[in-house]
Amino acid sequence: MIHITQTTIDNQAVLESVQDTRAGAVVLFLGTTRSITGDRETDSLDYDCYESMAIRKLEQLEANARTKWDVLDIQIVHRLGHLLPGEASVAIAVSSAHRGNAFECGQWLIDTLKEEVPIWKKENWSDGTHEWVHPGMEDS
Amino acid sequence: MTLQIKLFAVAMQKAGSAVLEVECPLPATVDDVRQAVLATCPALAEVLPHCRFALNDEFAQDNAPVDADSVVAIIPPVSGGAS
Repeated sequence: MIHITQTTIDNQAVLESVQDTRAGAVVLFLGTTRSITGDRETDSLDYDCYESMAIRKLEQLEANARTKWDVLDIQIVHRLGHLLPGEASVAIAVSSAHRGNAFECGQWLIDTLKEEVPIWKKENWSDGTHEWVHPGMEDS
Repeated sequence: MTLQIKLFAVAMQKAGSAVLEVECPLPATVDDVRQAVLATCPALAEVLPHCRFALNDEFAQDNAPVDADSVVAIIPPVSGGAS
């Protein structure tokens, strides 16, 4: 299942959503708000989203992952809005019979999500400036 | 034909609006729309070469046809981040 939320991600609920008695492994990835990037300090992040497309792309991600790895269940939750350092913006949980599949699938999901799902973050730097983060166009 | 183009993140910031109205004769391709966007909103010139277009919630190639009822969006590079 995939889910987009405006509220705090409930890590325990994400884990429980993929639990399965056939599972020998459950992997949970949390993407959390980092306070230091290079020599700059982040006060907060704001996430913007093209929601209808993001949902479509997240559903495609889950479907593609299930064809690539023999996993039992997948849960992807992305949070939007205003986040403070340390808070999770994304959670991905994967359960599988053996750990290799869950690790590999989870890694692929987060790597591909960050290329294909139209969700953007704006850094609110501690010096009071703001900046949308777009890989490959940092100087724009 | 007036197209309503959805803008996000840095594209929205540069254009100063979440929707850009662009005049573009149909039939047209994504590349035609891209040129029309540039002509309408020069403030996007710097960022547009880095952006993909989406039609009806799916990434579209430059030669994809744009219809009168297409939902067109400009998709800046997504937030990425070093792994």
